[in-house]
Amino acid sequence: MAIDDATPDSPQAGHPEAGDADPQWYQRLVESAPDAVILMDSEGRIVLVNAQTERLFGYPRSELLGKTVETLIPERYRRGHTVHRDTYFTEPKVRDMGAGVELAGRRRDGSEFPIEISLSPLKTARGMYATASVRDISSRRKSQQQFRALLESAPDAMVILDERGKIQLINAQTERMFGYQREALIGKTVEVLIPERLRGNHVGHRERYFQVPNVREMGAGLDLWGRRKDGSEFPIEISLSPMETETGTWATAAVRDVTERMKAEARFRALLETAPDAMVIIGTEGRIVLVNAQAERVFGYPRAELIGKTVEMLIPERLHGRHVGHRSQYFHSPKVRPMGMGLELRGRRKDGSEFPIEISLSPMESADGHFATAAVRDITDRKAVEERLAKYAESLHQSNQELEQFAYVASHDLQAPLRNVVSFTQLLQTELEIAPDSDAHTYMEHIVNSGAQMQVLIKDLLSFSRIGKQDEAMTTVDCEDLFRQVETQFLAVAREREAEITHEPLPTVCGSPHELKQLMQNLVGNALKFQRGQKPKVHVSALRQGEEWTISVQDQGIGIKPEHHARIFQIFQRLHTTREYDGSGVGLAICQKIVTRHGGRIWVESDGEHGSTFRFTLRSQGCS
Amino acid sequence: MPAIQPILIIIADDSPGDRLLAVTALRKGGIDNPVLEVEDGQQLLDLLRSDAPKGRRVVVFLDINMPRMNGIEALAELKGDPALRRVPVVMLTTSEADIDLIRAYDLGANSYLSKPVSFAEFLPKMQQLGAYWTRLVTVPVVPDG
Repeated sequence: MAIDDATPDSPQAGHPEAGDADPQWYQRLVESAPDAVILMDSEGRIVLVNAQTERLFGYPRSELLGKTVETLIPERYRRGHTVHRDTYFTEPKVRDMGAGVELAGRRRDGSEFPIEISLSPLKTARGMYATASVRDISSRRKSQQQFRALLESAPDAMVILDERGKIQLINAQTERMFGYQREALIGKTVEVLIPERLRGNHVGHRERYFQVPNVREMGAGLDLWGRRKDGSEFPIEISLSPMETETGTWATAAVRDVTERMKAEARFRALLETAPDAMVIIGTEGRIVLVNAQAERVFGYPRAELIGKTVEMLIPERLHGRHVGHRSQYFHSPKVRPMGMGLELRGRRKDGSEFPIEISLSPMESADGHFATAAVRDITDRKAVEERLAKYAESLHQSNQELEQFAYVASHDLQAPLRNVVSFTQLLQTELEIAPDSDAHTYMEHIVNSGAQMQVLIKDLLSFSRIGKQDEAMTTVDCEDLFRQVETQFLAVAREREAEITHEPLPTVCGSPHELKQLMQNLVGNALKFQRGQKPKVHVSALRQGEEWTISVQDQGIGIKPEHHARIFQIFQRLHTTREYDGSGVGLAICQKIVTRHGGRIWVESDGEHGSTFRFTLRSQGCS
Repeated sequence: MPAIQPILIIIADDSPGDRLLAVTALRKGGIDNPVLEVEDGQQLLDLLRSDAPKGRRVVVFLDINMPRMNGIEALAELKGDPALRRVPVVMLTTSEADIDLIRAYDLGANSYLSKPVSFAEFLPKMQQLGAYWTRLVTVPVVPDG
């Protein structure tokens, strides 16, 4: 029996019931213990071990008995342990497992493992003994380490507290967030992390939580604040979950500093207020979560009456059903939908009145979930303007048609009687054989001349009113080509008056070929016409300036005094009698109308003595 | 074999003054062919489809702007009628709009004259046109039945 030599023969005191226990009984008791049990004398020599000890440390009991207990401790702790052991025997007492120091055991193969020890003294006739119960806590240590690692890896500050609100465990994020060292927090009540003004209430909240512990978000709507070591406060969000431990229910609090988010939200709110439209932000359930002042104004509700209500309160009742469908569809596949796309909607004010609105929608993701931002524009005014414009366009269209009708009447019905007046007067002249020098003949001449003049006026008026009516498409026009056509037209006149028409290279522009030809024709025609005896010289040139061509028609004719420069482009404005220069005063008005239609300007440069230069601009871009 | 009858000139114009001017210009221009006058397109077609022109050679002077059926409509109908489409048609018009000119030729007009205000200008034009269609060229006969 291994116990023979080593068993204390009469153990007393320490464990009163073990007082006179027989060694056999003691051995059985030790063998039945779940932990490794080691009995040592006051010199630290092992006098008894159980099978668990053999298994735990890998020694057969024969190799342990008589050795000092330091055999089972890593070498580096041995010297210290000897001192501890001596101290213990001078004042022996029962010491619980786990209390305090972390210990390590050493197996026979030299490997180490974490242990927990409880000690109890045993007084015998032969002296003091001590019983050490040793427990391998490798697996517990491992799971603790895993838990701590998990805690450290959490993005939030994690604070674990027990039922009494004492902080048991924190992570590094907590240290950083609150500015405390770990040691300064462990064991304190959690209220140390809360501003003083809120502590009283918090104790009550905390106690209620432990009565019905559950997983809970504390962020929603609550005004929560954290307090740093330096006394400064910051907005936080907390989520709580209960945690079962050996010593009862603890609570894990994940704490998030939402300073930045609050700032961003504040910025967002400010931004919202600057929007020109009414802004209504709704959650997936259709509840209004945020509005701006414009929304209050447009719908006539104060903000407080909108927040939390479903957005349908802003829509006429008869459209509610449809809208709920649209809304959930939108959240199903949210995308940006700009204004003016799709349906025209109706809004409903607090007083029940309706008004036309236009809405643009954009989805918004935030930490709190999906939202939709609706920019709502009251388009009552625009609608009214649109209607006015439509009416105006209609009346314009009508008057245009009337004008066209007038042009038709003028071209046919006005000219037919005129022709009859003139022609029959001419026939009268011959039939009556009126003497050419008689008054009657002079009168008839006046009738005929006036008729002819009137016909010129009618024709010019017609061609003026026809500009832009031909529906001729804008196309690429080679001005060089145009100039040649005009030149050919004036060939006879030019030859007759010994005129010299020259030109520089001319550009290709976008316009109506018919109208641009008429423009060129009128300007060159004028240049040839308004001469005082000398041989006409006409020069056409072009200059590009940025996006524009400036085309110039220069003559050395009679010129135009600057005070007349504006007048000459008005219809029927003439500076000369028909006896001096024929014409109706429509040519330059036609020119201006054509140039304006092409997006250009026309003007004249002349000092009234040294000829005139007419310039007009045309955009240089080709036709797209 | 019947004697060759002179070409029949039909003037279609709603203006009595214009009709008189046209006839006067023809007469003063030495064209003494028989002339029939109608006041609109419908009267013209009725006349052409009556017995009057059957077996005769006909030339039509046709105004465009007329009530009831205008010259363009009458021209279209006439040139679409197998019995009448060879009848030469000279458009006589006040309009100088290119569109009328183009439409008239598209529909098969044989000639086109814009009536000037002055009779002094009108006379030589009508004289030449009248001579061309009644003397110079050969015009087919409007078929019998």
